Amino acid sequence: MADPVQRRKISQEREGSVKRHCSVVVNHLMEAGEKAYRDRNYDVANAHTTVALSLQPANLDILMRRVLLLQRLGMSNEALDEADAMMTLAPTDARGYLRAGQVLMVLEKPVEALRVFRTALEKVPTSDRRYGLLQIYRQRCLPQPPSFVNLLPYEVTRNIFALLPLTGLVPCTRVCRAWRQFIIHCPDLWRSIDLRDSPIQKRFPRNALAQCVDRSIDPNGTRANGLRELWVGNKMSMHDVVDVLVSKECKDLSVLYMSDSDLTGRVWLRMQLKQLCLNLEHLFLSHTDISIVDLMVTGETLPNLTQLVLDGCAFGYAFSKNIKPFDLSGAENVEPSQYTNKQALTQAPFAKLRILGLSSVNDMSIYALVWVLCRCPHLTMLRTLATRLKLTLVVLAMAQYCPDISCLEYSPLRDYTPLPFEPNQLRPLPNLHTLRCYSEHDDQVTNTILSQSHPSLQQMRMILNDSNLLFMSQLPFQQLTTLSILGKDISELALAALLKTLPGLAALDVSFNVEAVTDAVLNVVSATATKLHTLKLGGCVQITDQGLLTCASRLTSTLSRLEISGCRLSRKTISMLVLDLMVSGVLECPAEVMVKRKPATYPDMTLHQRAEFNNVINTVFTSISEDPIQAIYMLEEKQLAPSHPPTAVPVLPAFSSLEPEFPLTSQLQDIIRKDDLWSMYI
Amino acid sequence: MSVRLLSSDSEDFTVAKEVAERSMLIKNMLEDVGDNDNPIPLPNVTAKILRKVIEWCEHHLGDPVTNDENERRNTEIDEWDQKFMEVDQETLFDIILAANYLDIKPLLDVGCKTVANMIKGKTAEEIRKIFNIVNDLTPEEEAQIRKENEWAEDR
Repeated sequence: MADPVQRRKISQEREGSVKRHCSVVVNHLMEAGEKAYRDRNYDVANAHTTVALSLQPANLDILMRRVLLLQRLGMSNEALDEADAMMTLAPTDARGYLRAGQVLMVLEKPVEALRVFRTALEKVPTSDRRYGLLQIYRQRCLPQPPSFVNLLPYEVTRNIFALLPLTGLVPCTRVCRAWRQFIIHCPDLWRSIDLRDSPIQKRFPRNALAQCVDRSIDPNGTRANGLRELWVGNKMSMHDVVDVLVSKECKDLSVLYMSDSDLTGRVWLRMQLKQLCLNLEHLFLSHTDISIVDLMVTGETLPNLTQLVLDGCAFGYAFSKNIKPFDLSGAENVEPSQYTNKQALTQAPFAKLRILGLSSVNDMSIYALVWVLCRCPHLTMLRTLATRLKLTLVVLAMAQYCPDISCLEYSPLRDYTPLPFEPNQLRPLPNLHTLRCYSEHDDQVTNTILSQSHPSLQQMRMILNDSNLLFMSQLPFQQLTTLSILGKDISELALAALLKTLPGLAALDVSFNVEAVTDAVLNVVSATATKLHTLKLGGCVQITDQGLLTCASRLTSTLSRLEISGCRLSRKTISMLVLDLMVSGVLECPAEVMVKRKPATYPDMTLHQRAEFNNVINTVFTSISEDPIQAIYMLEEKQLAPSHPPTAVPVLPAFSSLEPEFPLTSQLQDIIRKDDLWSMYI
Repeated sequence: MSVRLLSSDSEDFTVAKEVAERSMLIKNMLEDVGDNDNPIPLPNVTAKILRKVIEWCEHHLGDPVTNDENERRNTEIDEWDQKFMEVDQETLFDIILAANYLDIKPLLDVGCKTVANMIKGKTAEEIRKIFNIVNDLTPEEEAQIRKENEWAEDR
């Protein structure tokens, strides 16, 4: 070992080398600090700056980073002290003032911040490249005129923001401090997240969802708290969604829309295992990879479900494998009487389920349907469009297992031969009020349903033929208000015979029943259905001008919507409809007919009438918006009606108009970016 | 049957009882006070705004009252209301405040929807311009928020 003299010499040398290499060490420390900061490791970054600062106590760059860090760590007072130190250290450098003022602004002390910037503008020479920044800052802490967020009561402001979609709400968080504080601290605004119709093409980032979920949690809330409704569709990867939901423990979710997404059984299982579905009421999983069987056997994790939509999903092979009591072979050819004996399945895990959607489920056999139905005994709405099932079987199964049914929608995937059917096989469905049935084969079943349920039926949309119509005309429908007839070779006589018996009708759609709808039928309608407010006659070319005008003039007090696109009507008739008969209401017009009006045609109209008239004409023209004549028409309109100029809400003179504008130039932005290199990492 | 209303600047309005009863506040007051010829003082509403509110109530006299929150939220503003709301911002917010005070839910809805429509589909800069707001966020904060909101703001 060397003697003391040599040791001292070495030590002195080292000390010198430390001083000599000081800036290198500091640079290294700051780089490490920056990395830690980027990883949000603020404590580590703080340790690095502390060491660096002990080496160069007067380095403004390090001090600046330190203020930023202390702010991040929530130590605002210490941050202010450091900024003060910067100001005393270099009173002519803008950096200290900028930091101090910024801390004060974030602390919402604009008056103090303003004072700091005023002093800064006096002391800092105008040649400083940050001088422009000081001006911008000073302007931003001037007292603000209150906006509506400060003026209106809390509930009203909340209602206004609640009307915005998520993509409209998000830019509002960047408007000003008051708006930001209000919005991000109002959990009610973030309870329902709907991404389905957002115009944004990009995928919704996972962090953004996590942030929304955080904002939806009320720290003082005691009852159900956090996210309620999530409508994602295909805007995110379901793996990410479930990740966020699990990590944030969203247990109060009541609506979940994951249709058309990349959801798989495994991902869904994770949701169920974490007990996130306990409060779920509405679940949409259409066109996903999920197996209906897997979902239905886990009913106990979905105790509150009232609506379940599984369109386009599959039962999968699991069904045939796990469910022993049903033999799937030849299920389609089974006689109805063979299964009307109730199966021994007594457990009903989906006790609250009311609405079930099973459209386009290609591998659904009648046994699969029965297997599902007996798990939901209180079902009121069933929708099975485009499946392989026959109407007879669906209706029998429903009457057997879900007698409360009130709404049924059915259509077959392809034509089939009807099954033999005896009317007495069918149990009555006392609550059925809506029937939408697009099957043209099962006359017997259709007629049986109609004869049993006609007292309760309110809405019907069906494929009907002459014998159906005549059969219906024998039945006393008491509550039927909406009727859409998709006719199958129906005749004028049968249609008239039916319509004669329906005085309570409020909406009638007989579009494209070209043969049957004639002036005589319209005559019957207008004479019988005195409460009719909607009449759709699309494509009914047999109607004459006179027939329609007679009908419309009879119904003029109630009729508010008339569709006549594709009818052969004269221009005169349309203008008469617009001018005299449909003064308020919607008229859907054929595109080939134009209403070209001139100011001279109605000089004696009052202002009010003219406005109403404009409404109707506008409706006519929006339905044919591609037409060039519309442009001309709009021009005429402007000259014609100066009483209602399209006044935009006037903008008050800008508050800061006395002040010159201090634009944030790209040069200044560069300085911010370099000064605050760290703060750019969020 | 008519009711007298007294605005904050002491202007006397005489309106039909059914019109006045669109306001839940006045309706409840009338039920409490009973028939009586004294004007009802409305200290929070000026004559200018009260005239507007009465105009609205008269036009919407026969409207059915819906209590379904969703239905009220989702219906569009009809054309008459749109024209009615074509006023300067000060008046607009005064009408909203009056509707809130007088407890006329449908008018309040129309007012809120009008304001929401002014915000919808706008960028932060456009919103500031419309409502005459001065940006008081520091450029650092703004850059940070812009980064957070990137998914919604860059189209």
